[in-house]
Amino acid sequence: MLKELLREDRVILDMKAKTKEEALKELVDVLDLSEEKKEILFKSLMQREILGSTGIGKGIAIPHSRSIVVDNITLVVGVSKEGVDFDSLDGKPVHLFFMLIATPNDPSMKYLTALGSIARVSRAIAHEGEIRTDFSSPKELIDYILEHDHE
Amino acid sequence: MTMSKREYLRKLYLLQDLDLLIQQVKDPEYEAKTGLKVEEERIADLERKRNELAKELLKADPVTYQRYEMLKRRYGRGITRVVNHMCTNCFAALPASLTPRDDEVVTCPNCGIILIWLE
Ligand SMILES: [Zn+2]
Repeated sequence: MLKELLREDRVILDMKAKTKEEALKELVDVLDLSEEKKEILFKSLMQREILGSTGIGKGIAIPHSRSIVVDNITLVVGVSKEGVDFDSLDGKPVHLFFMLIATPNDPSMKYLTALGSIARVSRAIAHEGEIRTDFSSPKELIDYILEHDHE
Repeated sequence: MTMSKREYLRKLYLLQDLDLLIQQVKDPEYEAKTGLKVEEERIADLERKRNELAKELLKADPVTYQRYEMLKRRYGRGITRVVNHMCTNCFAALPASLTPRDDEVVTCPNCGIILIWLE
């Protein structure tokens, strides 16, 4: 599941963002979308954050939304060496972001299964303690994530 | 205050985003699969926000708003994008004569969903 969603052109190895808004904008910016669509997507992700931070703790966040701006279920991965203040549950800065966007038409099963896989990988990575942030290529980051993807 | 149809549709799909979000976090599978817990109080806040927007849209164009609600019951969504002259709800090819209009809400001749063109 995750393997199909991970793409080398949808990875940020060194995020510049310091705040939640900046982080979401930076992640959205990776996608090949018009400014209008980016703005819509950003708003949608911020709405989700109103319900409670998607910063799940231990330095990981999973911002997610359904939005009509994408054509397919889409994942962007971002790494922040310094960490972003994301109002996480444990108050810790976020170093690893998984942004998942589904279309309104994607069946709930597919979307929730993808979210579930990301949550599972996140827990496996968090379980090791320190999150790695020193990736030299998108491929290296993707391999690191997949190493933690145990069904 | 009058709203252009374009502005109206932008607000309508924000409403749809809110509807999908509320529906998603109320799905018991959501917490089970993701481990993300959402407090009832927060959902109530978002529902209030949703209802305010809905009220505004109902007042500005009751016919379109009611159509949205009816479509949502039928398809789970009321508004969809046009991509390459195709409706992304029913995947029917749309007639070339069908184009975005500022004075009128355009719907799919095949499935009836409200159509939006995004740049
Ligand atoms: Zn249609």
